[in-house]
Amino acid sequence: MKLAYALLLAALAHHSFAAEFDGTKPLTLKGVVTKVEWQSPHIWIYVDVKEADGKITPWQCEGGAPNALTRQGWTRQTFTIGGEVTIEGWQAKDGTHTCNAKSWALADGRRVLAGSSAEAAK
Amino acid sequence: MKPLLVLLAVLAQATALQQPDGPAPRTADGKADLSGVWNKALVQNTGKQVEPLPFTPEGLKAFNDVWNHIDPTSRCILPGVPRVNTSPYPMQIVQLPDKVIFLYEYMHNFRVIYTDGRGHRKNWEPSLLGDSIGRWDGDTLVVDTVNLTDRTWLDDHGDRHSDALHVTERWRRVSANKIHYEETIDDPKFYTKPWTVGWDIPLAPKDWVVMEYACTDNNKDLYDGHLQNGPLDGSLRDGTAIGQPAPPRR
Repeated sequence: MKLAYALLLAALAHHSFAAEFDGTKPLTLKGVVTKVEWQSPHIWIYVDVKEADGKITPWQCEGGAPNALTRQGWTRQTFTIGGEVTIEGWQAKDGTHTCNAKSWALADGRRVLAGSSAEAAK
Repeated sequence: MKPLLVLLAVLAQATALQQPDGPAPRTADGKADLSGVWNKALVQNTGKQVEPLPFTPEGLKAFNDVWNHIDPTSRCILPGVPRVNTSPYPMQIVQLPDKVIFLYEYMHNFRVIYTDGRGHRKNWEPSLLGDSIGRWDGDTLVVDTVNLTDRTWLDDHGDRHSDALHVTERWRRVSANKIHYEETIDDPKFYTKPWTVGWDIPLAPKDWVVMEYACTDNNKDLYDGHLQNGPLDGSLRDGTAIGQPAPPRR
């Protein structure tokens, strides 16, 4: 676990988390994966989130770099289209439904450490 | 910085577990061999060891002006020399009798450093990686780089340099599992005197190879207009970012 955390920290970003995302406002999103972009410099996962009133809101969340995630043993197939994920992260300051993910919990209980750029600022 | 210390400790431990340390391997011509895949870590504030930096008025102005610019690497501009050495992700070194080749995972940079006694090139335009030549000082590869543009930054802290920058890197394999790296920043326009910092770089775990990290493949932060001005480490430009203690996070 410690090693995974260390490798997560090695998956640092190349843009400013502090400027782009609000580190004071953590959020948790539960939704269904609609699209996976497993590309450099960061993966993006698109998720449909069901609101309390039943309304579906599409979100896009940024994760770690594919090279670093691959070294941790994750692949594009880790995320299945239509599969449930619970994302812990931070919302973009611009108010759009964009987030920077700290971790992704999969339906089978596995937790992908996202290697978010927030870790770089700590 | 605590997580970074954890990272270094754990990586050092992981490396040690995989490959017992010993003396540096040597090439046929007797030099300590830098060849291998090295797990260099991101160094966000390269000048931290020698803060406060010896700014000239122009250098301090440029440092504070970072607040008005997006980090060039966020827009996929190559990190340049010396930042290529402090950017994240591993690198591979291939040491040959007349040259040393550096292959960086981060943005697929490569450098071919000739050690055959040639001098700097004449009449070349300044560039992001500049013009580097190498020489051996015992077991240390000394890389001398000039002819750099002022379009790159020194690090995530937003330390700056001018087009007068002259960089001296010193690479020495101190043991089988460790390189000691040093860089000297000599930039009379921005700093009143040269400053030198250094750290160790651990050998990567045995099965690691240099992978793809293509900045322009899907840089949504750039395409969607999310990028903002300022240094990547979130340091402020209120006077606190130029010395100790470390600046507060935004």
